[in-house]
Amino acid sequence: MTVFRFALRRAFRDPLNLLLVCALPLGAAFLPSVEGLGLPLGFQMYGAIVLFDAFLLLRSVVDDGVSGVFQRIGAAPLTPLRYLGETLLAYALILFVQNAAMVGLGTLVQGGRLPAPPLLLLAYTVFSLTSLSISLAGGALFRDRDTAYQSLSAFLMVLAMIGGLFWPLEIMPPFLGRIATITPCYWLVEAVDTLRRNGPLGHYALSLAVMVLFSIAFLLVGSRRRLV
Amino acid sequence: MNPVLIVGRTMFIRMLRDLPSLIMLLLVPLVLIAILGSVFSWVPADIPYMRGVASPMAFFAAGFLVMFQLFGGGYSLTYVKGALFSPMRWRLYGLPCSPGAIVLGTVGAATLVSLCQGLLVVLVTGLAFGVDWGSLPLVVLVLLAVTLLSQLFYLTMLLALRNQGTAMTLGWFFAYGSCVAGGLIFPLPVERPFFRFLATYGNPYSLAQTALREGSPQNNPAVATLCLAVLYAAAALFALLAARLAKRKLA
Repeated sequence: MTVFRFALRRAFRDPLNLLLVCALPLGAAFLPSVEGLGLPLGFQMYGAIVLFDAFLLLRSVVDDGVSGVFQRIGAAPLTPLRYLGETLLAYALILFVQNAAMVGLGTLVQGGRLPAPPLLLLAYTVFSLTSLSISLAGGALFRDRDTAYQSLSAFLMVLAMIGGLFWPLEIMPPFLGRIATITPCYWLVEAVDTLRRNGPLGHYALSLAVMVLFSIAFLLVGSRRRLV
Repeated sequence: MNPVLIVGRTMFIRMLRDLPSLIMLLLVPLVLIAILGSVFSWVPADIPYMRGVASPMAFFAAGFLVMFQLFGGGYSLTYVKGALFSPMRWRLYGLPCSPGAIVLGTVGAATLVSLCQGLLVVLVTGLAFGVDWGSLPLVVLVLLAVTLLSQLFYLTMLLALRNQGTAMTLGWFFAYGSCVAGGLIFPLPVERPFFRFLATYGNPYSLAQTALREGSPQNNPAVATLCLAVLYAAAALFALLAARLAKRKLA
């Protein structure tokens, strides 16, 4: 697990990055509820935070692709699959710890307004994996670092908007609602909404399964260039 | 010709040729305004989420205009980094032009490019989507204040940290954070005094929106003047900080 340890160390090397990516988002747990939103404000926006956090963490993989590190890995006794797998596992662990801290804090601060904390944590964790794979796939499309950063951040914002992370899906017109279903964000919103409404667990499990399928698809796209 | 003007002219031309940034800061806001404005125009204004917004197109146009001006600071960061925090610096030090002139010329060009992009957004949304922007000089003053503040913030972060990645991340937090705290993305609980202050005066996004809203004679021009003064004072503060840091780190 050398690469796994290295990826963790690399993420924690810059204390400012650590503060911005991991600590600052936890402040969202303290935000109050707003009329018209189902969850406390911080949890309504937490999906978008995870999406952008995954992108910030994944920038190191984009940098490696641009700077020629992958070519060097090709000559090292280490398969690209192992490099990518252990790196993603390290970032997934960081996001899982952040999700657990967020849900734990939320349970303490918001009390009963937070539905089924363990299942909520599971939904955020699966979405973290999906977010990492989206950024990986997006980063693999570009050969220039600045273009990759700019295009990905704009794409993620549009994805979050269409997927219902910024506003309730009910107020969207029907045609946009249909487009939303092909975004992973929609399925996180669906999973959380099912928990909030105390809906059937099958519906919740289906949302998680769709997010897992999205993760697999994006991982295949993102790792395609790395494996050859 | 003054070295600052020569650098400014060269950087201006280079920035205009930077296609990804032009798409990001000009086309993306126009597309977002068009889509979201037309999508939300059918939603009744009295539901809690819409916060009583009478014209969603005008709300999103003003919101995204300011938001993408706050992102515009990336120009200064990228071009100053490329010139003075890379091996290119040794070649530039050989020129009869001080590092200070290079920074000043770059920030000036970046401000002008960002301002032009903002004015194009104003023009297109006014002509194509019928957004009423009110007094044009006020819009220009607000845009200039926001873009100047953004350029100087990004530059200060680069000079303080010398790491483009971290400085860019801080810039994103500055831009996105301002918009979230200003109520563009989510409705804030403005019935609480703290959040009301945050949504009216508490960050660059809110100050710019309040100045645009209150600037017309039938509203409260004194409030708009105050907001503009705070924005320019913040820009001056970052200019001083950047000058001090540049003196130490670029000497």
